[in-house]
Amino acid sequence: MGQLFYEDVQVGAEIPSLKRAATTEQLVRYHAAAGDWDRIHFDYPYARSVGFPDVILQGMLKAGWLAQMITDWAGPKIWVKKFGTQYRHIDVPLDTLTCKGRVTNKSVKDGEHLVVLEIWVQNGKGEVTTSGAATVRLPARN
Amino acid sequence: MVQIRSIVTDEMRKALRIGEELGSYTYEVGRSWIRRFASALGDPNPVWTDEESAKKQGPFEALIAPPTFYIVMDPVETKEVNLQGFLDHIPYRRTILANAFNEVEYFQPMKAGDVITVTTTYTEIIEKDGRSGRLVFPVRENVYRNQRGELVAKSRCSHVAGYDLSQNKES
Repeated sequence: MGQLFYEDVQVGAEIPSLKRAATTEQLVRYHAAAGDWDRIHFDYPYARSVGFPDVILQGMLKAGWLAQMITDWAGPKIWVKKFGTQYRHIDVPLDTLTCKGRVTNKSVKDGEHLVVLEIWVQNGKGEVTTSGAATVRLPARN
Repeated sequence: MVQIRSIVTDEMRKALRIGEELGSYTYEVGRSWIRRFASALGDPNPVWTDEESAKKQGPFEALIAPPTFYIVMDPVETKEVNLQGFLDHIPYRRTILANAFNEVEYFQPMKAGDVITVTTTYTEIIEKDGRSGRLVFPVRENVYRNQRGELVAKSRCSHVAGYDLSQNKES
């Protein structure tokens, strides 16, 4: 995997997108790893009874994919210092989701080379279901 | 615009113990836990799973937790803090209950082997009108400290519950 340096980043540049479609197995695996036991993510009759069309993806699973998109793009020598996501619409298993991002700012602060990213997830219909922002410290060439 | 009265009562604010630290919860950032978490995300990057790769390629010469790992140490998600039951007793038909937002800021890396102590405080209940009716957000903040008592991270998270104010809940 290559490493991105601060000097290489242009404000406005898009981050290579990451596509994911979650199976119900993945939702349960994420549950087990994250220790979040809300039944809307694994209990189909319960999810239906509270008004969802299916079990729904954990917001933090989608957040995890957005974080993976950032590491895949920038390389291993980075540190994600700030990371936030908000959930506007639910997502369901097997819909193909696309994680996307764009550089909105770059600056050097207290000796750290930082880039700010706008990040979001689109569902199969192209609707933005999740949006957020991240501040990432990159290595510099000089 | 018609001003509709708040459906959040002082009893609900009391139930959330707004502004009060809700005890301390301690978690070990175990390597196998990080590996299981990265595997559950489907992230094959060796910097999360292999100590040598992390030391050689990473920024800190140590294996650090993935950016979203803080959520596994959220006492509300793990139900160790369970004060949101009042959302079941708001007397209108509930249209949605789901996660609303999760934000984290790291002040130093969270390294494998760290022992993290988390304190949770509910800071406010936000109420607003949205697509799913009246929306109620019980907002909580976590402070993460390591085994040396140093600040590692702060998070701000909330669920959202929506209510249809035209329909009273059937008793």
